[in-house]
Amino acid sequence: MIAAIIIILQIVTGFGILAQCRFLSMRAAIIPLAFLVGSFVHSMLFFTADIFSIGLSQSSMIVTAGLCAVISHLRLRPVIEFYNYLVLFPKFTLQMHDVVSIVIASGLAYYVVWAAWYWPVTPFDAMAGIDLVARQTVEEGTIANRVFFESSLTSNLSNQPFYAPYAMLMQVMYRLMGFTFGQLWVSFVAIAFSWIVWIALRQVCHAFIANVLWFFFLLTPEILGYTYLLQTDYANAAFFSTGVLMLVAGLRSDSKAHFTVSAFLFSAACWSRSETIAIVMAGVIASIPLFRKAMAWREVFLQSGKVIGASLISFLLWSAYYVPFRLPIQPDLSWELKGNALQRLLQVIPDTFQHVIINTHLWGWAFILFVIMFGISWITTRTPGRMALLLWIAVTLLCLVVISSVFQSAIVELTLRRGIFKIIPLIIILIGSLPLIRIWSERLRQWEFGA
Amino acid sequence: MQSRPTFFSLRSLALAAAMVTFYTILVSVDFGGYNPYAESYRSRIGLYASKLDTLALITSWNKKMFLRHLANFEIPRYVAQHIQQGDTVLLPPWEYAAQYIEVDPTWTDPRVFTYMTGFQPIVAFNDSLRWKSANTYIVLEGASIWLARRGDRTNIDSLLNEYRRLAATNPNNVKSL
Repeated sequence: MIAAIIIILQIVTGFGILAQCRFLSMRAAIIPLAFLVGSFVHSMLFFTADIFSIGLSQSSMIVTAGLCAVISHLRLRPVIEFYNYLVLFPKFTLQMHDVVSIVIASGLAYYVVWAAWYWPVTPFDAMAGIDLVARQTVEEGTIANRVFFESSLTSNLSNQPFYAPYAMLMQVMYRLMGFTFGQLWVSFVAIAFSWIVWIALRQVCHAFIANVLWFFFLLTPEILGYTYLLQTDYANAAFFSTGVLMLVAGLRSDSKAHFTVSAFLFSAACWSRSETIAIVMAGVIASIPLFRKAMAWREVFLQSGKVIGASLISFLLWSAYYVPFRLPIQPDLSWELKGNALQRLLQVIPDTFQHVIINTHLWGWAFILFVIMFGISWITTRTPGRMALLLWIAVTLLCLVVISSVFQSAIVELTLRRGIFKIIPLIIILIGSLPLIRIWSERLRQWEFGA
Repeated sequence: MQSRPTFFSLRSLALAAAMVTFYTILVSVDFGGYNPYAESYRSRIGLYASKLDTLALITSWNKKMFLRHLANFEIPRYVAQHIQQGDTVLLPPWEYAAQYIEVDPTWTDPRVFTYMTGFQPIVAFNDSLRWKSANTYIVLEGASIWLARRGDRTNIDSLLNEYRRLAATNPNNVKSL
């Protein structure tokens, strides 16, 4: 019961925020988008209960969820406008193959939710970090709990508890809701994100091709496992990739609402993994020429500043305030940054390609399909497709390589590998938006009509 | 003019059939090992789908933890149950435990040990500053385990030497981000 109330309040919060942003598009993906945004904002307000020493408990969780929902609906005019848009009679565009795809995907979702609910937390990083802290937080009511004071642990905490407040707080919330292992939220985020990817694909190509590409994404071997295993990376990828999609849509339509929503999502991405701030900043800076094409310089600074500013807030709140001032011990940055980064870079680049990118057991055919389709598309149409998406994919990959070179504990086969989660959905959507696929989509549509 | 194709038509049916065929091939045909989706589906979803009824009968927290973590759950629980008043247990190095256990013995990490048992008087092997406070040691031999204390039949110095010797074989015990 509490779980249902909290999740509904989070979705309502998301509606309120999207309304305040005057976000009136992607109606078919509004609910999952609202869930992502709402759960992020709720986790932040819940966290402030710890900052003000109110305590993280079931009652503070319910009160903050209610507060989030109320505060996000305070400005009534955009809210009314948003709900009017939301309840417009839906345009049913589903075809028989869509229904087939939805049924199959629902079956997958069932097993994913079941596995997240049934199995105990398994990954080492989660047991050694976020869930270890979360479980104790439920007992003591604060993140700054015995885990950080216990002499048997203090010299062995490494970096696991220090870089992922979103996952930690979600674990606290879901454990407070009564779920034995907490991690059910992982599958909810996965379902929400998969839904968004589906809608995004349907916007760029024919629904049948969109469904085919969607299954390539859903069944990507490495990603499929993390739809029910507690880690920070899937949620991080969900926020980051949706943020990129919103930003790219904003650039195409010059829509401030899209930029504001992307600011929220990037902020959530930094809240779910701290080092994402570097990727967001690099991506936004690299996108400035594209911003400039779409708007005047003043707007460029305003919109890009909005995205970077929001990301900085969540990053600094955790990494520059809570960790150094509220926790008794800090991650060992001097150890993390030691070593010759340039020398490591020369090793990381080939390792990344040899052990991660070309490994089809991790990413299925995503990279191969992209290279082949991009090549054919380029040869036949001489146009590259969506440059902004391509740019973000390149910048993200480059940043992951640099992060793996600079930080000692960022290991190519683990950290960088899971960082690729951020790229795969973008690659799949980029394939769907290639000029060649657009031509195929048009032919398929004509065939459907019997033309 | 039609803005979208009709739901029930022969061509619509053909696309639906094509979708079912595509999905079935993707998750079930190996293509001689060239289809990573089939293998991944089998191990990540298919396995649970086929054993759902059996697994659903297992509801106890302990059994689920054991099924998932095997020795990494069983050994810390054993140690926690046999700790006596005044004991402080030195966790062995990973390399020592790995000799006797088939799974990756993550329980030698004090965080995982604490995750499995709650807070216990333990000292991590790499925590040399607190080594002196340890007075109880974990001995693994074949399929057996026991806690050794000074004065018992176990030669503690030999055991510690073995811990040190094995730990020295792998100085890189860094865990990932």
